[in-house]
Amino acid sequence: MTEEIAVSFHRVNFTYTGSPVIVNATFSIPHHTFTTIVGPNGGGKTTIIKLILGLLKPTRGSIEVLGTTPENARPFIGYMPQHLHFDPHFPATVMDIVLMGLLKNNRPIGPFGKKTREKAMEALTRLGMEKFAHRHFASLSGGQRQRVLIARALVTDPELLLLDEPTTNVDTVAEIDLFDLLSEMSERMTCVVVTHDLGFVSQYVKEVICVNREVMVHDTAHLTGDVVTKLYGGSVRMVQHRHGG
Amino acid sequence: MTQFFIDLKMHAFLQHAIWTAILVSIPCGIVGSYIVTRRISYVAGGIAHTVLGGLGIARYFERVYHLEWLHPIYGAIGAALLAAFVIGWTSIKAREREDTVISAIWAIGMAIGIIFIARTPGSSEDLMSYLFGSILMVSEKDLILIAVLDAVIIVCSFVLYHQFFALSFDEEFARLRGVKVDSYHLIFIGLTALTVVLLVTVVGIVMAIALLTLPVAISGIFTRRMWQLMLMSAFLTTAFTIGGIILSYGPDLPAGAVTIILTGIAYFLALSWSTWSGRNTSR
Repeated sequence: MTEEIAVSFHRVNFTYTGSPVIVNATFSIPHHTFTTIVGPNGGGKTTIIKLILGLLKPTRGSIEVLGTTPENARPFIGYMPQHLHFDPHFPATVMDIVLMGLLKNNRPIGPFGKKTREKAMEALTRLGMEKFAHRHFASLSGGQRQRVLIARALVTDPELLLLDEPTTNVDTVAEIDLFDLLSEMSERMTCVVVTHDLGFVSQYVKEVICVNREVMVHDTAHLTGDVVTKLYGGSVRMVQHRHGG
Repeated sequence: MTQFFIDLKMHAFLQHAIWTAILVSIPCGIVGSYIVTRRISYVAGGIAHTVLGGLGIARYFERVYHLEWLHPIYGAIGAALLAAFVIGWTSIKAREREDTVISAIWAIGMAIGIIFIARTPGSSEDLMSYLFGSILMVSEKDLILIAVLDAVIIVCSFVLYHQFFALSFDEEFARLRGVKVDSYHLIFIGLTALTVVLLVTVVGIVMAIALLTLPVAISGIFTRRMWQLMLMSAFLTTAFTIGGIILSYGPDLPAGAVTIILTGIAYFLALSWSTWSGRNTSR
Protein backbone atom coordinates (compact mmCIF):
# COMPACT_ATOMS: atom_id res chain seq x y z
CA MET A 1 0.00 0.00 0.00
CA THR A 2 1.85 3.06 -1.19
CA GLU A 3 -1.33 5.05 -1.59
CA GLU A 4 -1.77 7.75 0.97
CA ILE A 5 -4.79 7.43 3.24
CA ALA A 6 -6.88 10.43 4.32
CA VAL A 7 -9.25 8.72 6.74
CA SER A 8 -9.03 5.31 8.29
CA PHE A 9 -11.40 3.58 10.70
CA HIS A 10 -10.18 0.51 12.53
CA ARG A 11 -12.82 -1.66 14.26
CA VAL A 12 -14.80 1.40 15.30
CA ASN A 13 -17.90 0.99 17.44
CA PHE A 14 -20.10 3.86 18.50
CA THR A 15 -22.90 3.45 20.99
CA TYR A 16 -25.38 6.18 21.85
CA THR A 17 -27.34 5.80 25.12
CA GLY A 18 -26.95 2.05 25.07
CA SER A 19 -27.91 1.34 21.47
CA PRO A 20 -25.27 0.64 18.85
CA VAL A 21 -25.11 3.21 16.03
CA ILE A 22 -21.96 2.05 14.30
CA VAL A 23 -20.80 -1.54 14.62
CA ASN A 24 -17.27 -2.72 13.92
CA ALA A 25 -16.48 -0.31 11.08
CA THR A 26 -13.17 -0.78 9.29
CA PHE A 27 -12.55 1.18 6.12
CA SER A 28 -10.28 3.78 4.65
CA ILE A 29 -10.62 6.72 2.28
CA PRO A 30 -7.62 7.36 0.02
CA HIS A 31 -6.26 10.86 -0.55
CA HIS A 32 -7.52 12.95 -3.47
CA THR A 33 -10.61 10.91 -4.14
CA PHE A 34 -14.26 11.76 -4.34
CA THR A 35 -16.05 9.41 -1.99
CA THR A 36 -19.67 9.28 -1.01
CA ILE A 37 -21.34 7.95 2.11
CA VAL A 38 -24.83 6.58 1.55
CA GLY A 39 -27.39 4.76 3.64
CA PRO A 40 -30.90 5.07 5.04
CA ASN A 41 -31.92 7.88 7.39
CA GLY A 42 -30.82 7.07 10.92
CA GLY A 43 -28.32 4.57 9.57
CA GLY A 44 -25.34 6.48 11.01
CA LYS A 45 -24.07 8.59 8.07
CA THR A 46 -23.81 11.81 10.07
CA THR A 47 -22.29 9.86 12.95
CA ILE A 48 -19.43 8.78 10.66
CA ILE A 49 -18.80 12.45 9.74
CA LYS A 50 -18.88 13.55 13.40
CA LEU A 51 -16.47 10.75 14.30
CA ILE A 52 -14.07 11.95 11.58
CA LEU A 53 -14.31 15.48 13.03
CA GLY A 54 -13.76 14.24 16.57
CA LEU A 55 -17.08 15.76 17.68
CA LEU A 56 -18.01 12.23 18.72
CA LYS A 57 -15.59 9.75 20.26
CA PRO A 58 -15.68 6.08 19.29
CA THR A 59 -16.83 3.75 22.05
CA ARG A 60 -14.25 1.27 20.83
CA GLY A 61 -11.72 1.21 18.01
CA SER A 62 -9.50 3.90 16.53
CA ILE A 63 -9.76 6.61 13.90
CA GLU A 64 -6.93 8.29 12.07
CA VAL A 65 -7.48 11.42 9.99
CA LEU A 66 -4.75 12.93 7.77
CA GLY A 67 -2.20 10.89 9.65
CA THR A 68 -3.16 12.16 13.09
CA THR A 69 -6.06 12.27 15.57
CA PRO A 70 -9.38 13.80 14.49
CA GLU A 71 -8.85 16.82 16.83
CA ASN A 72 -5.41 17.58 15.46
CA ALA A 73 -6.66 17.24 11.90
CA ARG A 74 -9.44 19.83 12.35
CA PRO A 75 -7.54 22.84 10.98
CA PHE A 76 -7.14 20.94 7.69
CA ILE A 77 -10.77 19.85 7.41
CA GLY A 78 -13.56 21.81 5.72
CA TYR A 79 -17.01 20.90 6.95
CA MET A 80 -20.56 21.67 5.95
CA PRO A 81 -23.17 20.49 8.47
CA GLN A 82 -26.49 18.99 7.45
CA HIS A 83 -28.60 21.09 9.77
CA LEU A 84 -27.95 24.59 10.94
CA HIS A 85 -29.87 25.71 13.99
CA PHE A 86 -29.59 29.44 13.58
CA ASP A 87 -31.95 32.29 14.21
CA PRO A 88 -33.98 32.82 11.01
CA HIS A 89 -33.25 36.55 11.16
CA PHE A 90 -29.63 36.22 12.23
CA PRO A 91 -27.92 39.51 11.35
CA ALA A 92 -25.20 38.35 8.97
CA THR A 93 -24.33 38.84 5.32
CA VAL A 94 -23.12 36.02 3.10
CA MET A 95 -19.59 37.46 3.45
CA ASP A 96 -19.82 37.34 7.26
CA ILE A 97 -20.69 33.65 7.09
CA VAL A 98 -17.81 32.73 4.77
CA LEU A 99 -15.34 34.75 6.85
CA MET A 100 -16.33 32.57 9.80
CA GLY A 101 -14.48 29.77 8.03
CA LEU A 102 -11.26 31.77 8.38
CA LEU A 103 -11.65 32.29 12.09
CA LYS A 104 -8.77 31.19 14.29
CA ASN A 105 -8.59 31.17 18.03
CA ASN A 106 -5.87 33.76 18.31
CA ARG A 107 -6.86 36.23 15.65
CA PRO A 108 -5.93 39.89 15.91
CA ILE A 109 -8.51 42.38 17.17
CA GLY A 110 -10.67 44.32 14.75
CA PRO A 111 -12.17 43.71 11.32
CA PHE A 112 -10.88 41.08 8.89
CA GLY A 113 -8.11 42.30 6.59
CA LYS A 114 -8.32 42.85 2.85
CA LYS A 115 -6.46 39.63 2.01
CA THR A 116 -8.81 37.58 4.16
CA ARG A 117 -11.84 39.15 2.48
CA GLU A 118 -10.39 38.45 -0.96
CA LYS A 119 -9.97 34.82 0.03
CA ALA A 120 -13.59 34.62 1.10
CA MET A 121 -14.70 36.24 -2.17
CA GLU A 122 -12.66 33.66 -4.08
CA ALA A 123 -14.45 30.82 -2.33
CA LEU A 124 -17.81 32.43 -3.14
CA THR A 125 -16.81 32.84 -6.77
CA ARG A 126 -15.95 29.15 -7.01
CA LEU A 127 -19.54 28.38 -6.07
CA GLY A 128 -21.00 31.08 -8.28
CA MET A 129 -22.23 33.04 -5.27
CA GLU A 130 -20.06 36.18 -5.58
CA LYS A 131 -23.05 38.34 -6.53
CA PHE A 132 -24.67 37.49 -3.21
CA ALA A 133 -21.71 38.48 -1.00
CA HIS A 134 -23.45 41.44 0.57
CA ARG A 135 -26.91 39.92 0.77
CA HIS A 136 -28.55 39.04 4.06
CA PHE A 137 -27.85 35.33 4.61
CA ALA A 138 -31.35 34.65 5.93
CA SER A 139 -32.92 36.00 2.71
CA LEU A 140 -31.36 33.32 0.50
CA SER A 141 -33.08 30.17 -0.70
CA GLY A 142 -32.21 26.80 0.80
CA GLY A 143 -29.96 25.84 -2.10
CA GLN A 144 -28.16 29.20 -2.07
CA ARG A 145 -27.54 28.91 1.67
CA GLN A 146 -26.04 25.48 1.15
CA ARG A 147 -23.64 26.89 -1.45
CA VAL A 148 -22.59 29.61 0.99
CA LEU A 149 -21.94 26.99 3.65
CA ILE A 150 -19.89 24.96 1.16
CA ALA A 151 -17.89 28.13 0.43
CA ARG A 152 -17.35 28.54 4.18
CA ALA A 153 -16.03 24.95 4.28
CA LEU A 154 -13.78 25.52 1.24
CA VAL A 155 -12.34 28.88 2.19
CA THR A 156 -9.38 27.48 4.15
CA ASP A 157 -8.28 25.26 1.22
CA PRO A 158 -8.73 22.13 3.32
CA GLU A 159 -7.07 18.81 2.63
CA LEU A 160 -10.27 17.02 3.51
CA LEU A 161 -13.73 18.32 2.65
CA LEU A 162 -16.73 16.82 4.45
CA LEU A 163 -20.18 17.74 3.14
CA ASP A 164 -23.22 16.37 4.95
CA GLU A 165 -26.19 16.16 2.55
CA PRO A 166 -25.25 19.14 0.36
CA THR A 167 -27.99 18.44 -2.18
CA THR A 168 -31.05 18.22 0.05
CA ASN A 169 -32.65 21.50 -1.07
CA VAL A 170 -31.06 21.66 -4.48
CA ASP A 171 -32.63 21.06 -7.87
CA THR A 172 -31.23 18.55 -10.34
CA VAL A 173 -29.24 21.03 -12.43
CA ALA A 174 -27.61 22.55 -9.36
CA GLU A 175 -26.89 19.06 -8.05
CA ILE A 176 -25.03 18.12 -11.22
CA ASP A 177 -23.14 21.43 -11.12
CA LEU A 178 -22.09 20.76 -7.56
CA PHE A 179 -20.91 17.23 -8.28
CA ASP A 180 -18.95 18.50 -11.29
CA LEU A 181 -17.24 21.03 -9.04
CA LEU A 182 -16.48 18.47 -6.33
CA SER A 183 -15.19 16.01 -8.86
CA GLU A 184 -12.82 18.69 -10.21
CA MET A 185 -11.71 19.65 -6.69
CA SER A 186 -11.03 16.06 -5.69
CA GLU A 187 -7.83 16.31 -7.73
CA ARG A 188 -6.53 18.67 -5.05
CA MET A 189 -8.36 17.53 -1.93
CA THR A 190 -10.22 14.54 -0.57
CA CYS A 191 -13.96 15.09 -0.91
CA VAL A 192 -16.39 13.10 1.19
CA VAL A 193 -20.08 13.69 0.54
CA VAL A 194 -22.96 12.25 2.53
CA THR A 195 -26.09 11.65 0.51
CA HIS A 196 -29.21 9.53 0.67
CA ASP A 197 -29.50 9.74 -3.09
CA LEU A 198 -27.29 7.57 -5.24
CA GLY A 199 -28.94 8.73 -8.46
CA PHE A 200 -26.31 11.03 -9.88
CA VAL A 201 -23.39 10.54 -7.62
CA SER A 202 -22.53 7.07 -8.91
CA GLN A 203 -21.38 8.71 -12.14
CA TYR A 204 -18.75 10.67 -10.28
CA VAL A 205 -17.40 8.39 -7.59
CA LYS A 206 -15.50 5.18 -7.78
CA GLU A 207 -16.35 4.01 -4.31
CA VAL A 208 -19.42 4.24 -2.15
CA ILE A 209 -19.34 3.78 1.60
CA CYS A 210 -22.64 2.27 2.65
CA VAL A 211 -23.60 2.88 6.26
CA ASN A 212 -26.43 1.11 8.01
CA ARG A 213 -24.99 0.35 11.46
CA GLU A 214 -22.43 -1.74 9.60
CA VAL A 215 -20.14 -0.10 7.10
CA MET A 216 -19.34 -1.59 3.71
CA VAL A 217 -17.36 -0.18 0.83
CA HIS A 218 -18.64 -0.86 -2.66
CA ASP A 219 -17.15 -0.26 -6.03
CA THR A 220 -19.76 1.72 -7.99
CA ALA A 221 -19.13 -0.38 -11.10
CA HIS A 222 -20.34 -3.45 -9.23
CA LEU A 223 -23.12 -1.73 -7.37
CA THR A 224 -26.40 -2.95 -8.73
CA GLY A 225 -29.92 -2.10 -7.67
CA ASP A 226 -30.23 -5.58 -6.25
CA VAL A 227 -27.35 -5.18 -3.85
CA VAL A 228 -28.67 -1.86 -2.61
CA THR A 229 -32.20 -3.11 -2.15
CA LYS A 230 -30.98 -6.14 -0.25
CA LEU A 231 -28.82 -4.04 2.05
CA TYR A 232 -31.08 -1.10 2.68
CA GLY A 233 -34.60 -2.23 1.97
CA GLY A 234 -34.97 -0.07 -1.11
CA SER A 235 -34.71 3.25 0.73
CA VAL A 236 -31.81 4.40 -1.40
CA ARG A 237 -32.70 5.64 -4.86
CA MET A 238 -30.52 4.01 -7.40
CA VAL A 239 -29.93 4.52 -11.09
CA GLN A 240 -27.48 2.24 -12.77
CA HIS A 241 -24.97 3.78 -15.12
CA ARG A 242 -22.67 2.33 -17.64
CA HIS A 243 -19.23 3.67 -16.97
CA GLY A 244 -17.39 4.37 -20.16
CA GLY A 245 -14.13 2.59 -21.04
CA MET B 1 -41.96 68.55 29.99
CA THR B 2 -40.42 72.05 29.86
CA GLN B 3 -40.21 71.90 33.66
CA PHE B 4 -37.95 68.87 33.23
CA PHE B 5 -35.45 70.78 31.13
CA ILE B 6 -35.44 73.71 33.56
CA ASP B 7 -34.84 71.31 36.46
CA LEU B 8 -32.24 69.35 34.50
CA LYS B 9 -29.91 72.35 34.66
CA MET B 10 -30.41 72.74 38.39
CA HIS B 11 -30.50 69.20 39.79
CA ALA B 12 -27.50 66.92 39.72
CA PHE B 13 -29.69 63.83 40.23
CA LEU B 14 -31.39 64.44 36.89
CA GLN B 15 -28.07 64.85 35.11
CA HIS B 16 -26.86 61.63 36.73
CA ALA B 17 -30.01 59.87 35.53
CA ILE B 18 -29.42 61.00 31.94
CA TRP B 19 -25.77 59.88 32.07
CA THR B 20 -26.82 56.54 33.53
CA ALA B 21 -29.33 56.06 30.72
CA ILE B 22 -26.64 56.67 28.09
CA LEU B 23 -23.98 54.56 29.79
CA VAL B 24 -26.24 51.58 30.44
CA SER B 25 -27.75 51.57 26.95
CA ILE B 26 -24.46 50.85 25.18
CA PRO B 27 -23.65 47.47 26.80
CA CYS B 28 -27.36 46.71 26.81
CA GLY B 29 -27.47 47.00 23.00
CA ILE B 30 -24.28 44.96 22.54
CA VAL B 31 -25.05 42.10 24.93
CA GLY B 32 -28.77 42.16 24.11
CA SER B 33 -28.00 41.56 20.42
CA TYR B 34 -26.23 38.31 21.22
CA ILE B 35 -28.86 37.28 23.74
CA VAL B 36 -31.67 37.68 21.24
CA THR B 37 -29.87 36.00 18.32
CA ARG B 38 -28.71 33.13 20.53
CA ARG B 39 -32.18 32.89 22.06
CA ILE B 40 -30.95 32.76 25.62
CA SER B 41 -33.03 35.51 27.18
CA TYR B 42 -34.05 33.14 29.99
CA VAL B 43 -30.37 33.06 31.01
CA ALA B 44 -30.47 36.84 31.46
CA GLY B 45 -33.81 36.52 33.27
CA GLY B 46 -32.35 34.00 35.69
CA ILE B 47 -29.30 36.13 36.42
CA ALA B 48 -31.43 39.28 36.88
CA HIS B 49 -33.59 37.66 39.56
CA THR B 50 -30.63 36.12 41.35
CA VAL B 51 -29.26 39.63 41.76
CA LEU B 52 -31.88 40.26 44.48
CA GLY B 53 -30.03 37.78 46.70
CA GLY B 54 -26.78 39.75 46.36
CA LEU B 55 -28.49 43.10 46.86
CA GLY B 56 -30.31 41.84 49.96
CA ILE B 57 -27.21 40.34 51.58
CA ALA B 58 -25.03 43.40 50.89
CA ARG B 59 -27.70 45.80 52.15
CA TYR B 60 -28.17 43.71 55.32
CA PHE B 61 -24.48 43.76 56.21
CA GLU B 62 -24.19 47.42 55.31
CA ARG B 63 -27.03 48.40 57.64
CA VAL B 64 -26.67 45.93 60.50
CA TYR B 65 -22.87 45.92 60.76
CA HIS B 66 -22.42 49.52 59.53
CA LEU B 67 -20.11 48.54 56.71
CA GLU B 68 -20.28 51.87 54.89
CA TRP B 69 -18.09 50.69 52.01
CA LEU B 70 -20.39 47.80 51.18
CA HIS B 71 -22.48 49.25 48.38
CA PRO B 72 -25.40 46.94 47.47
CA ILE B 73 -24.16 46.94 43.86
CA TYR B 74 -21.11 44.89 44.99
CA GLY B 75 -23.52 42.28 46.27
CA ALA B 76 -25.38 42.43 42.96
CA ILE B 77 -22.15 41.93 40.97
CA GLY B 78 -21.15 38.99 43.18
CA ALA B 79 -24.52 37.27 42.90
CA ALA B 80 -24.78 37.89 39.14
CA LEU B 81 -21.31 36.51 38.42
CA LEU B 82 -21.92 33.48 40.63
CA ALA B 83 -25.24 32.79 38.87
CA ALA B 84 -23.54 33.30 35.49
CA PHE B 85 -20.82 30.83 36.34
CA VAL B 86 -23.26 28.15 37.51
CA ILE B 87 -25.53 28.63 34.49
CA GLY B 88 -22.62 28.74 32.03
CA TRP B 89 -20.95 25.71 33.55
CA THR B 90 -24.21 23.75 33.48
CA SER B 91 -24.81 24.57 29.83
CA ILE B 92 -21.34 23.30 28.95
CA LYS B 93 -21.57 20.13 31.01
CA ALA B 94 -25.22 19.11 30.78
CA ARG B 95 -27.04 21.06 28.14
CA GLU B 96 -30.42 19.39 28.46
CA ARG B 97 -30.92 20.39 32.11
CA GLU B 98 -29.98 24.03 31.72
CA ASP B 99 -33.51 25.44 32.01
CA THR B 100 -34.19 23.57 35.25
CA VAL B 101 -30.96 24.86 36.78
CA ILE B 102 -31.84 28.42 35.73
CA SER B 103 -35.29 28.15 37.31
CA ALA B 104 -33.72 26.90 40.54
CA ILE B 105 -31.13 29.69 40.67
CA TRP B 106 -33.78 32.26 39.74
CA ALA B 107 -36.06 31.30 42.65
CA ILE B 108 -33.37 30.58 45.26
CA GLY B 109 -31.68 33.92 44.55
CA MET B 110 -34.93 35.79 45.07
CA ALA B 111 -35.75 33.82 48.23
CA ILE B 112 -32.37 34.65 49.79
CA GLY B 113 -32.86 38.30 48.90
CA ILE B 114 -36.33 38.47 50.43
CA ILE B 115 -35.18 36.85 53.69
CA PHE B 116 -32.27 39.30 54.10
CA ILE B 117 -34.44 42.29 53.19
CA ALA B 118 -37.03 41.18 55.77
CA ARG B 119 -34.26 41.11 58.42
CA THR B 120 -32.82 44.50 57.46
CA PRO B 121 -34.22 47.39 59.51
CA GLY B 122 -36.29 49.89 57.52
CA SER B 123 -35.62 48.57 54.04
CA SER B 124 -38.96 48.04 52.35
CA GLU B 125 -38.25 51.01 50.09
CA ASP B 126 -35.02 49.33 48.99
CA LEU B 127 -37.01 46.31 47.82
CA MET B 128 -39.17 48.47 45.57
CA SER B 129 -36.16 50.18 43.99
CA TYR B 130 -34.40 46.83 43.42
CA LEU B 131 -37.45 45.34 41.78
CA PHE B 132 -38.50 48.30 39.67
CA GLY B 133 -35.42 50.48 39.31
CA SER B 134 -34.24 53.76 40.78
CA ILE B 135 -32.54 55.72 38.04
CA LEU B 136 -33.30 59.03 39.79
CA MET B 137 -31.30 57.95 42.85
CA VAL B 138 -27.96 57.37 41.13
CA SER B 139 -25.19 59.22 42.98
CA GLU B 140 -21.92 60.45 41.54
CA LYS B 141 -20.15 57.50 43.16
CA ASP B 142 -22.62 55.09 41.55
CA LEU B 143 -22.03 56.76 38.23
CA ILE B 144 -18.29 56.07 38.41
CA LEU B 145 -18.97 52.41 39.18
CA ILE B 146 -21.41 52.22 36.29
CA ALA B 147 -18.81 53.75 33.96
CA VAL B 148 -16.21 51.18 35.04
CA LEU B 149 -18.57 48.23 34.41
CA ASP B 150 -19.48 49.83 31.12
CA ALA B 151 -15.87 50.02 30.02
CA VAL B 152 -15.24 46.36 30.94
CA ILE B 153 -18.21 45.15 28.90
CA ILE B 154 -17.51 47.37 25.86
CA VAL B 155 -13.80 46.50 25.69
CA CYS B 156 -14.42 42.74 26.04
CA SER B 157 -17.16 42.79 23.39
CA PHE B 158 -14.97 44.71 20.98
CA VAL B 159 -11.95 42.46 21.43
CA LEU B 160 -14.00 39.25 21.16
CA TYR B 161 -16.46 40.44 18.48
CA HIS B 162 -15.70 37.73 15.90
CA GLN B 163 -15.54 34.96 18.48
CA PHE B 164 -18.90 35.90 19.99
CA PHE B 165 -20.35 36.32 16.51
CA ALA B 166 -19.28 32.83 15.40
CA LEU B 167 -20.45 31.37 18.70
CA SER B 168 -23.91 32.87 18.19
CA PHE B 169 -24.27 31.67 14.62
CA ASP B 170 -22.84 28.17 14.70
CA GLU B 171 -21.16 26.97 17.88
CA GLU B 172 -20.15 23.59 16.47
CA PHE B 173 -18.41 25.15 13.49
CA ALA B 174 -16.59 27.66 15.70
CA ARG B 175 -15.34 24.78 17.83
CA LEU B 176 -14.04 22.99 14.72
CA ARG B 177 -12.12 26.14 13.71
CA GLY B 178 -10.26 25.94 17.00
CA VAL B 179 -12.20 28.65 18.82
CA LYS B 180 -12.27 27.90 22.55
CA VAL B 181 -16.05 27.88 22.56
CA ASP B 182 -16.56 26.93 26.21
CA SER B 183 -14.29 29.68 27.57
CA TYR B 184 -15.90 32.33 25.37
CA HIS B 185 -19.34 31.10 26.38
CA LEU B 186 -18.42 31.60 30.05
CA ILE B 187 -16.95 35.05 29.36
CA PHE B 188 -20.09 36.01 27.47
CA ILE B 189 -22.42 34.88 30.27
CA GLY B 190 -20.20 36.86 32.68
CA LEU B 191 -20.65 40.00 30.55
CA THR B 192 -24.38 39.32 30.50
CA ALA B 193 -24.29 39.26 34.31
CA LEU B 194 -22.54 42.66 34.48
CA THR B 195 -25.00 44.14 31.98
CA VAL B 196 -27.92 42.86 34.02
CA VAL B 197 -26.48 44.53 37.14
CA LEU B 198 -26.37 47.82 35.25
CA LEU B 199 -29.94 47.37 34.04
CA VAL B 200 -31.22 46.70 37.54
CA THR B 201 -30.33 50.30 38.39
CA VAL B 202 -32.33 51.61 35.46
CA VAL B 203 -35.48 49.50 35.31
CA GLY B 204 -35.09 47.02 38.16
CA ILE B 205 -34.88 43.23 38.33
CA VAL B 206 -38.36 42.52 37.01
CA MET B 207 -38.12 44.64 33.86
CA ALA B 208 -34.41 44.26 32.98
CA ILE B 209 -35.13 41.52 30.48
CA ALA B 210 -37.47 43.76 28.48
CA LEU B 211 -34.87 46.46 27.99
CA LEU B 212 -32.31 43.83 27.03
CA THR B 213 -34.42 42.20 24.32
CA LEU B 214 -37.14 44.51 22.94
CA PRO B 215 -34.89 47.22 21.43
CA VAL B 216 -32.92 44.43 19.72
CA ALA B 217 -36.12 42.90 18.38
CA ILE B 218 -37.12 46.28 16.90
CA SER B 219 -33.65 46.87 15.41
CA GLY B 220 -33.63 43.37 13.93
CA ILE B 221 -36.31 44.45 11.47
CA PHE B 222 -34.10 47.21 10.03
CA THR B 223 -30.55 45.82 10.18
CA ARG B 224 -28.73 42.95 8.50
CA ARG B 225 -25.38 42.90 10.26
CA MET B 226 -24.48 42.27 13.88
CA TRP B 227 -22.69 45.55 14.52
CA GLN B 228 -25.58 47.50 12.97
CA LEU B 229 -27.97 45.63 15.24
CA MET B 230 -25.88 46.56 18.28
CA LEU B 231 -25.59 50.21 17.30
CA MET B 232 -29.27 50.69 16.59
CA SER B 233 -30.31 48.79 19.74
CA ALA B 234 -28.02 50.93 21.89
CA PHE B 235 -29.45 54.07 20.31
CA LEU B 236 -33.06 52.94 20.83
CA THR B 237 -32.39 51.92 24.43
CA THR B 238 -30.95 55.37 25.13
CA ALA B 239 -33.98 57.01 23.55
CA PHE B 240 -36.49 54.87 25.49
CA THR B 241 -34.70 55.31 28.81
CA ILE B 242 -34.30 59.07 28.51
CA GLY B 243 -37.87 59.26 27.18
CA GLY B 244 -39.04 57.36 30.25
CA ILE B 245 -37.24 59.78 32.58
CA ILE B 246 -38.69 62.86 30.85
CA LEU B 247 -42.26 61.57 30.55
CA SER B 248 -42.40 60.30 34.12
CA TYR B 249 -40.96 63.47 35.65
CA GLY B 250 -43.96 65.82 35.40
CA PRO B 251 -46.69 63.43 36.63
CA ASP B 252 -44.22 61.88 39.17
CA LEU B 253 -44.56 58.30 37.84
CA PRO B 254 -41.95 55.54 38.31
CA ALA B 255 -39.36 56.17 35.55
CA GLY B 256 -38.51 52.49 35.06
CA ALA B 257 -42.11 51.52 34.42
CA VAL B 258 -42.68 54.39 31.98
CA THR B 259 -39.51 53.39 30.12
CA ILE B 260 -40.79 49.83 29.73
CA ILE B 261 -44.25 50.99 28.57
CA LEU B 262 -42.54 53.19 25.98
CA THR B 263 -40.33 50.30 24.83
CA GLY B 264 -43.28 47.93 24.70
CA ILE B 265 -45.38 50.32 22.59
CA ALA B 266 -42.49 50.81 20.16
CA TYR B 267 -41.98 47.05 19.95
CA PHE B 268 -45.58 46.28 19.10
CA LEU B 269 -45.74 49.13 16.59
CA ALA B 270 -42.59 47.86 14.88
CA LEU B 271 -43.90 44.31 14.91
CA SER B 272 -47.23 45.32 13.34
CA TRP B 273 -45.46 47.43 10.76
CA SER B 274 -43.08 44.64 9.75
CA THR B 275 -45.92 42.11 9.55
CA TRP B 276 -48.06 44.53 7.55
CA SER B 277 -45.26 45.50 5.14
CA GLY B 278 -43.88 41.98 4.96
CA ARG B 279 -40.43 43.30 5.68
CA ASN B 280 -39.52 40.46 8.00
CA THR B 281 -39.89 37.82 5.33
CA SER B 282 -38.79 39.66 2.21
CA ARG B 283 -35.38 40.80 3.39
